[in-house]
Amino acid sequence: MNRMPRHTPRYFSPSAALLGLCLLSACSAPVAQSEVDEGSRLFVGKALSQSRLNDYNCAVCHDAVASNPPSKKAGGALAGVTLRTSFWGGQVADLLGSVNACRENFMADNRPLSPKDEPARALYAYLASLEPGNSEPIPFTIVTTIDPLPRGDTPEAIADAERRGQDLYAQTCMTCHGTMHDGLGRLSTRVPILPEETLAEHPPPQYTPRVQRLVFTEKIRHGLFLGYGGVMPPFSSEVLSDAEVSDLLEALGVIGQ
Amino acid sequence: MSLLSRFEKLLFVVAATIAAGCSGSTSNADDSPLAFPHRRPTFESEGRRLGYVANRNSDTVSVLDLDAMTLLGSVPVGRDPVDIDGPRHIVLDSANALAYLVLSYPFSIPSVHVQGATKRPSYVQALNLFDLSIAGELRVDPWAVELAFSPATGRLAVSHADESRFLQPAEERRANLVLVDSASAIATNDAQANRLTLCAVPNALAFDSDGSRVFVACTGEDSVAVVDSASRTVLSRVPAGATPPSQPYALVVDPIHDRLLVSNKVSRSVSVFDLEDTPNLLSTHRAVDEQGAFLGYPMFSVLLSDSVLAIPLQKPDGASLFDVTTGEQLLEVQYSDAECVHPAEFSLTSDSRLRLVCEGDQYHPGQVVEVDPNTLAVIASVPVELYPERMTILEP
Repeated sequence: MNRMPRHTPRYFSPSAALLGLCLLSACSAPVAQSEVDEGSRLFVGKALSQSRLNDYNCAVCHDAVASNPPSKKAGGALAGVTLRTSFWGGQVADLLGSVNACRENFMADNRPLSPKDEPARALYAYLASLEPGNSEPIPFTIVTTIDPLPRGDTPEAIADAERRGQDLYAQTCMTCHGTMHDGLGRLSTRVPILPEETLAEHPPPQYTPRVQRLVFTEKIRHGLFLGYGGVMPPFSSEVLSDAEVSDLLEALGVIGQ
Repeated sequence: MSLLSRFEKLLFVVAATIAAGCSGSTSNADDSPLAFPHRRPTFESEGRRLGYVANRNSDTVSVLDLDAMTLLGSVPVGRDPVDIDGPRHIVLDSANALAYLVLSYPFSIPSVHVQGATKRPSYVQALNLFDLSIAGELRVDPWAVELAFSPATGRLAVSHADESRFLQPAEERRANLVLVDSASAIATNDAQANRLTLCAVPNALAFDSDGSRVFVACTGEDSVAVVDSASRTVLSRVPAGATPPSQPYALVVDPIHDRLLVSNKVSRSVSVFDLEDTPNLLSTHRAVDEQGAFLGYPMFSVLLSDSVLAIPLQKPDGASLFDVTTGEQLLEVQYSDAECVHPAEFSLTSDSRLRLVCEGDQYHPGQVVEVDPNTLAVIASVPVELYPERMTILEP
């Protein structure tokens, strides 16, 4: 009788392999996928916050995967975020703390998620599914001192700035504020129509045109932070240069004169 | 022949174990693989003396190995991911594996473009001692600056140096002392802040050894207040120095030598009191140079023995030693900018080594330095971050 070598057949036992495969497949893939799916729904939906005042979802400020050229969203792309150890420009040391900071500051829910909460697990599963991405901390420099931004010094330069500003408005502002002047598609009626409603909240004579330009600049740079309030995210100097903010103001007609 | 071979049995056991481990993710959240796995740096004593320093202008806490005089790490703290939270002081509750950190928000002046904004409240956060992650928090009044913890009673005291109140009518100048009877309850967000309107611009404070009384430097009233921490009543108020105006700022209770050390900014003196309910002024010490001119103003001092007092001095930066029994100035040294900018607090560890926190200029990193107790010469230095003032030590 032709015998197999003594040790080999047991390792390839069909029944054992089937048993192992069944158990492993039953335990991991479908459940993980359901959490990933739920997490992806949380990423684009409002359910990460229990507040009825919340107008945001994660995708408003973050891309899932980095684009080239980089998008103009206020927050960094999230692929690789599960591998990072520093967030918010180094001000937060753990990912869940970073998520909770977003929920509290932008999404009006100050009850922190714990790692055991279902939404936290689902969100983490989704974020982990985006790996590897970029594991390095995303540079996030807040411009603290608000200085007057110069305009172009020729009619052609001003016209070019206005054109660039229109494009930037579509990339940075429109998701929340809707279309310029009429607010079509804005996140909610709580979000001001630009520039009219924000100018109306800062009327002359208390606010001169020069100061109104500073108000817009400060709001873009600081968002809700550094004593301003509201729920707008800040745009770091890595996302928008001073020249780009000046272009935006040109498109908005907030020219300081 | 058995139904399953030995190997199949083994594989079944392994697979069943794996399946059991996985099953938690479907039915039992407690057993599931952890979302958001722990990636924070951790700080274990491992028999070492650890120093905890809050860096006010960089929103971090630095942890040092004081035996080796090395920096173990600095971690971001606070609750605002953009604004400066201004962590002023951290104290340790090692019995509950917690630390308490006061967030003062020194720059949180509302934008000039916002009308009707109010002062921002401060917070005391309970941090998990091993990784300094947030366990819970307690909202207190604006301009909380200092805190003290009593291991004996579990009580925490918080002072609020709200200088804007000093501009109010006399009856409104006094700020609150917050007393928390069970500080560990901050970790579960269940703590109660009990307020006692105490004095104008209270600053540094400290419990006595059994936690029954808290001593407070009342900067705006030139006095030291003694508070019964259980009944939350003022036991006494005494002048902070022999020759007002004193402007007391720093304050240290030394239970070993039964002394209270109060450092006065305007009079540039350190007042040494006993620890009676109404403290008695025993001696006053002012550092002078060879020409008799007053040197810098004193900060958080320490008694090196029954008789020797070490005082850190600012503007000009240096330190001095005094014999508190005779009043003699034993030694006076000046520090270069490379050695120590703005000496703020001396700490003596159980191995008789002396450390000094150097604030720096608030815009560049400060330091913790080791100082020879006899010569006050700097013998080792560890950079920390922006604007440290005080250090709390965890002895092994």
